[in-house]
Formats: sequence, C-alpha cells, structure tokens
Amino acid sequence: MQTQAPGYTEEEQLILAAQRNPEKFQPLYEKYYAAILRFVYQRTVSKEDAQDITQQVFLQAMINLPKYEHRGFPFSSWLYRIAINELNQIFRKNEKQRGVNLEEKHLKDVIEEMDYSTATADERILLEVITTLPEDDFTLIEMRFFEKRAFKEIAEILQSNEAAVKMRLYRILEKLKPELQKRLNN
Amino acid sequence: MKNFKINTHQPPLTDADLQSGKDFGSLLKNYQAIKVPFFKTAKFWWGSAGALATVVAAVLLLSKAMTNEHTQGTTAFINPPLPMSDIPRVSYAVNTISDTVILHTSGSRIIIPANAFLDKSGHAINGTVQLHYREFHEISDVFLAGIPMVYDSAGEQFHFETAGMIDITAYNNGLPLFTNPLSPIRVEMVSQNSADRFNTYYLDTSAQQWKYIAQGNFSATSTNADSVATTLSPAQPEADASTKKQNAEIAKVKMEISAILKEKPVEPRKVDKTKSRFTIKVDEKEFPEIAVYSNLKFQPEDKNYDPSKAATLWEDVQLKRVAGTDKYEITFMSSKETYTIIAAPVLEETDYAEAKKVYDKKFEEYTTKLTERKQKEATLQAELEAKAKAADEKIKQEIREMEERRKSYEARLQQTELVYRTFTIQQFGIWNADCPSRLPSGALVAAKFTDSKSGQPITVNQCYLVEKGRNAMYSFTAAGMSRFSFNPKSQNLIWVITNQLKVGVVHQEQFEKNTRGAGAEVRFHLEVIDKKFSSTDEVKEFLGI
Repeated sequence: MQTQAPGYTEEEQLILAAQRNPEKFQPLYEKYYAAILRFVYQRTVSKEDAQDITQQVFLQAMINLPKYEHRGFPFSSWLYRIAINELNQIFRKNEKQRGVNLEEKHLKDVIEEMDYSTATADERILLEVITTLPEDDFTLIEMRFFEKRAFKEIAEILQSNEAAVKMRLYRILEKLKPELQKRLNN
Repeated sequence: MKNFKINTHQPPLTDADLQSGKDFGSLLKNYQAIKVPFFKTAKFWWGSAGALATVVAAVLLLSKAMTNEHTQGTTAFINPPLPMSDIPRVSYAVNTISDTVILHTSGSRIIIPANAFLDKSGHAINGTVQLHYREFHEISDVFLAGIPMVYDSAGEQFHFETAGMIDITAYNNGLPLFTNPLSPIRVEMVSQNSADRFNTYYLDTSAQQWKYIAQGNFSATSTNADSVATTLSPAQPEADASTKKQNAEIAKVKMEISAILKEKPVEPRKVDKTKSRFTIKVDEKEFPEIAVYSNLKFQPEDKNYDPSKAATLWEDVQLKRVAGTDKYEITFMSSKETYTIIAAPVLEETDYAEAKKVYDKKFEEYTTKLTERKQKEATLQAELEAKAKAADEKIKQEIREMEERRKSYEARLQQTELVYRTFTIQQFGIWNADCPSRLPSGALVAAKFTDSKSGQPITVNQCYLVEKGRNAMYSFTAAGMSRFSFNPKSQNLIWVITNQLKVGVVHQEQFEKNTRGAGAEVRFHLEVIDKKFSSTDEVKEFLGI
C-alpha cells in the first residue's frame, strides 16, 4: 500500500492492462483457470457445478479488478479469496451442495496430527466432528489435510503469514479434541 | 452434520475437463452485459418489437448495474480524492531485536515488542524495519485519505462515526511485513471522543469491507505512562544505500590513484661513462615506467659493487623498485649463488634525447590522469561529507522533535479527560474505533447538483453528507442520490466527487439555502475545487469543517 517497488513484474503489467481494458483479462484467466477450477471442484459435487462456479469467480474478478491493489500477495491469492467468498455465498443460499472430497488416509493424518493413535480414534467420528466446524475453520483443515497444501500456500490464499496459519490450525485441532474424546467415549 | 456430501472417490479432473469449461468469450460477454447499462445500447433506442419485455429487461439490467455501483463503486477501494492532499504517513525505523515504544506526534503510543515482525515466510526479521504510521481523527482526514466508511452488517448497510482511526504498515527492504501473533504490536491511540460506544474494526481491503474485531477499546489513561520517558525511540535514519555506493566509489578511486602513482614515469638519466653498466630485459607490464625507453641500461649505484660478478653466468634475474626512489634492486641468481645490487636505469647519450621526449609525454599523461582522479576523489568526499552533515542535522532535528513530543505528551497526561483507544494489531492495515449508524432521517429528496459558478448541471459519482459536530460521513452513490436523506435540524454540508474526479463542496449556508422550501427534488449549488492547495489544513478549511 505504501511502498511501490520500482518497475512492474510481467504479471503486474498484465493486471494493469486488464484494469484498463477488460478484454486484456484473458492471459490472467488462462493462467489461473485450472488452479481455481481444481480449488472449486474440491468443494463441489460435480464437474459441471465446479465449471459454472469457476466462471462466476472470474466474472467477479473482472468486475472487481479496477479495485484490485497489490498488497504483497500473489494475484492468485486474490482469486482464491473471491472463490472462497463465492462458494460460501452459494452454499449459504443452498444453491448448490457443499462437497467434501477426501481419502481415508487424509483423516488418518488429522488423527495423527492430533496425537491420537489411529487404533483408538475413528475416522468416521472425526469426520462428524470436523464437519461441525465453522466454514472458515473447516476450509483450513480441508486445505491442509485434504488438499495437502503447504502452510506457505495456505498463508498466501488466506493473505496471512505461515506462523499465524499454523497457530490457527493447531488451535482448531486442540478445539476438536474434547468433542472427539466425548464421542469416542460414547 | 452440515449439509455436506462426503465423497471419497471423486474422479480427478482431466485435461478435457480443464478445457471444456474454459470460455473467455462467454465470460467477457457476461461481464459486458453487467457493466454496460442497457439504456446506452442501440437496442434500447431502436428496438421496436417486444417493447414491454425490453423495458423489463432494461429495468433489471439497470438495477443490477446500480447494485454493483452502489456496493462496489467504480474506482480503487481506498482512493484519496485529492492525491496531493492525502494524509501523510510518518516513517519510523524500528530495531526488531528489542522492545520499542514510539511516541507519535499526536501523543499516541506504538508499543512494539521484540520480534514483532515476520516476513512472508513467517520468519522473524532481525534488524531494522520501517514502520509507516498515520492517524485520522477528523472526518475530513478520512475523506482526504479516501477511506470508505460504509459498514455492511449481515447485508444491512451502516455508516461509521469514528473516534479515531490508524493506518499502520511495515516494510523491510521495500517488502511488506506481517505481524507476529506471538508478539503483537499494541497502539494506544489518543482519541478526541470519550464516549464508550465505539468498537474496534479492521478494514479488510481484499474482501473490501470492514470487519468487526472487538467491543470497546478505550481507557482513560495510557497503560504504561510512567515508562514513556525511558523507552522513547526516535526514528533513526534508514541505512542509506547511496552512501554505501559512494563509499565504494571512493575506495575504487583511491585504488585507481594508487595504481596511477605506481606508473609515474622515471625521468631518464644519462649514463656516467666512468662507471660500468649492463642490460637486462624489463617486463613492460610490471615496470611500465622504464619499459618505455629503448636501449635502457642499468648502472650500479652500490658502493660494494663487485665488477668481477659481470663474468658470472646468471640463470635468472629479479627486479624490484626501491620505494620512493628511481633506483632498482636487482638480484642475480644461479644455482650456486645469489647477488643483489642497487642500480639506476640510464641511457646512452645517443638514446637520451628520444627518451626525454617519451618521458615528457608520459609524464603529462600521468599528471592529467592523476589530477582527474584526485578531483573525482575530492568531489565524492565532499558529497559524502555533505550527506553526513545533513544526516547528522536530521538526527538532531528528530531528537528536537522527539523532545517536543515528550513535552506535549507530558502536558497531555495532565489533562483529566485524556482518552486512549487501544488496538492490538493482528494484521497491518487500517484499524478503526467506530460506531455504526444509520442514514440520518427527517427529509428525503432527490439530489441534483449545479456548478455554483457556471450554473451548469454537474454529474456526481459519489456524494458524502456530513453533519457538523458528528465525526461521520454518509455516502451516497450516483444511484443512491435519488433517495437522499438528511436531518434538517443538523448543520449539514456535502462533499462530492464529480464524474471528472474533482472534489466539490456544498457549504452549510448553501445547503440550508438550497433545501429551504424545496420540494421532492433539491438542486444543490456546488463549489468545485479547481485550485492547488499548499497544505492539508488549507483543504480542510475549504471543505468547511
């Protein structure tokens, strides 16, 4: 916001061009389409839904591009934020069903991270507990364990820093423990 | 469980999937359909069939366009209307290793624990960082900084009244830094409003909205007032890259001078015919000062010179100039012995005249080169000294200002109504002590604007209603001005941004005059700013608040 590095990167030039002329948005669209589609597909139940929502994400990006300002995060993180907002809005209005795509081993990873042994904890129960989390917390678990994203990448998407993301994730896992234990005892 | 559909066998996306949904043409078409108001298209004017459907479509599209405009605006999210009069930031250099307390000119305190700054990768910064800071206390500050004051709470729009706002960011080598959640920075901002209805909000520029953070934020006095005197930390000048460059340049010039001195030509001497002399081959790279002479000879100057050594067959010879003289130490070597003498380079009578010419030319070149380099060194040195003096003066000035601030701060501590509002900085950016309020009520009109000088209508992009005595501004977009509400009992004035991106003002007296006895439509007479201001205070005076 305050310090403008002299000169522009190639991507910044593309953004500036697209801010002036929406038709110039195409290179950015081409560059990030696949990443955003994958991100959306992870959270939806069909490829068609994912494709529709991805188009909607890029439409919002075009509308809001004149207001975009570089704040030290990659342009992609801005697109991910729009995607998260768009998905949240769609799920809130029940326009489409929220999909959770995972493999059993992903839940095992969560259990291990919580310092439980897979013998004592049950993946099904864990899934029940996880899905009661607020959407933001669930998304963090999803990005870290189901999508296997690095903390650095998650931090960029959430426009935060690695330390803060790690801390938030570990707090969420700590928060889950009593509920998980309660259900395991029952 | 929420309405989740858990899927453990999701088919992966194929290349065909990635391609089939991609359609920039259709995206652009959708974008244009939203962005271009229908009434501007040819279809609106020339379409004859299905007139009713066209009207319905136009209303829908206009409504969509207005909604977008109302909620998103058409320019950058933070957009100072008069960039030259934006509220300036103060830059503080902060040593990240130790705890620091900065006393801002307003009397606010920025309390920075050690290790408060992280880089993009989450690593703590060790060293000096630049902290940029500014405050907004009056609504005109907020207006000039171009900060939006509309707050969306669960879909309902409110307008902020502020008890003070801060903008805090940090950089290291030009790159933005991040807060460390384990060592949060705390800002105790001096507030001019002692009411307790103000909560803490953070401006999320990515989501383009204010985020509610916490309830309440004020205390009657600073938490650590006593420690101020010992922990004040004036801004230190940032390590100057150009100074380092200049120092390197001076070092380079000094080395060049030293190399030139080594090349000082040796003035040719005529041979002393009474003494013996000998010839050796001189390397022109190693001894350029004598290698320029043809038929150079050496004449021993050594009292202990042994002429019988001339008969020895030497296998190698080494030459070394005797420092500060024109003489050379020559060492002859063989497998059996080593013999060293001091000798002077000389020329036979026949070679001397030519050698003198060469010398005169070389000496002139040498003098010119040396003078030029020495001048360069002197210039650089003078520049560096001037810069050091200026930096020294800057530090002294900062210490003086710091002292003033300390005095001002101590004077403030004597005031009984001093209020601080505390922000715990979880993220760098804009933090606000605010209270959401609804649009004023009492009168509802359609607002139109006319240039007070020319009498011509003016199209306005954004309009801000300001009530004197209340630190709030109520914003109306072009679409919202058809339902312009105000409280006739308040002292109102209007600031606008025209479609030419100029700032205009309807002063309080003009507002009253224009609204008195007006019907459903009020035509406001606008004074459009077409002058350059020399200071922020001058702009504020013009804004009438």
